[in-house]
Amino acid sequence: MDIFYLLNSPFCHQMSSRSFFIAGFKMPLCARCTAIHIGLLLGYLFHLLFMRKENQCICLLSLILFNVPLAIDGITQLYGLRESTNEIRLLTGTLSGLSFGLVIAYVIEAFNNEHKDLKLELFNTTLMKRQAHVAISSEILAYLIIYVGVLSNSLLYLIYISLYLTISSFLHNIIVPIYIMVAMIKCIKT
Amino acid sequence: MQKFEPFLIWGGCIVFYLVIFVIWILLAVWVYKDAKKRGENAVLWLLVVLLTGIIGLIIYLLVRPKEKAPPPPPPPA
Repeated sequence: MDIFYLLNSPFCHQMSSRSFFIAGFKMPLCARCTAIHIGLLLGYLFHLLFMRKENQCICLLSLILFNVPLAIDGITQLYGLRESTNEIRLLTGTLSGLSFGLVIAYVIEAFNNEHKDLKLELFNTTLMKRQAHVAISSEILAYLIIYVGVLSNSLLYLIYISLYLTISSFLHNIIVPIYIMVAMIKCIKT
Repeated sequence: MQKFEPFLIWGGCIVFYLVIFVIWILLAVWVYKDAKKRGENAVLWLLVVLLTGIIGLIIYLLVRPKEKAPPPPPPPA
C-alpha cells in the first residue's frame, strides 16, 4: 500500500479524517478526490453507452450546476462555517467529476471526428433532463462502488481500486490535459 | 538460500506486477485498434480500459457494435 500512498501524494492531501478506509487501510486518495475520479469514469461510460449517438451538443448550464454543490461544500468548510462529512464529499465530488467526464468525453469525441463540431448550448431542456437522469444514476453507482468496498472489507477490492485511482490521477492530472492542449493547438493551426 | 530469500520474494512480486502491467497495456492497445476498426471513439475506450482493466474490457466486449461487412467487390466491367 505504501507505494500507492507515495505515488498519489503529489495530487492529494490524503488526510486520514477525510478518507475512506477499506480493510483497515486508508484509500490512497481522500474521499472527495476518490469521488471525482469515479465520477470521471462514470461520465466517460455514460457518454460512450448512452449519449454518444444521439446528442451532438452539450448543455453548459447543467454542467455548471453540477459543480455548485462541491463549491458550496468546499467553501463553507474552508471558512470554518461547518464541517463536511465523507458522504457529502462523496456525493458532491461524484457530481463534479461526472460533469468533467462528460465534457472531456465530448471534447475528445470532437477532436477525433472531423465531421463533428463542438456545439455548446446554454439552455436545453431535453438535454438537461437527460443529464439529470445520468447524474442520479451515477450518484447511486458511486455510492455503491465505495460502500461495497467499505462494507466487504476485501483486500483485493482495495488493491484494485487503489490501482484504478493511481492510474486515474496520473492520467487526469498529467496526460489528459497535455493531450487536450496538443489537440487544441492542432485545431487552431488548421 | 536464506540470504537470498528477500530478493526472491521481491523479485517475484516485481515480475508479477510487470506481467500484469504488460497484459493491461496490451489489452488497452487491442481495444484501441478494435474500436478504431469499428468506428467507435477509440481514444475514450482506450482511456476507460487503461483505467479499469478487465472490467472495462468486459463492458467493451458487451457493447461494441457488430463488425461492418467488407465492401462488395466492384462489378466486372
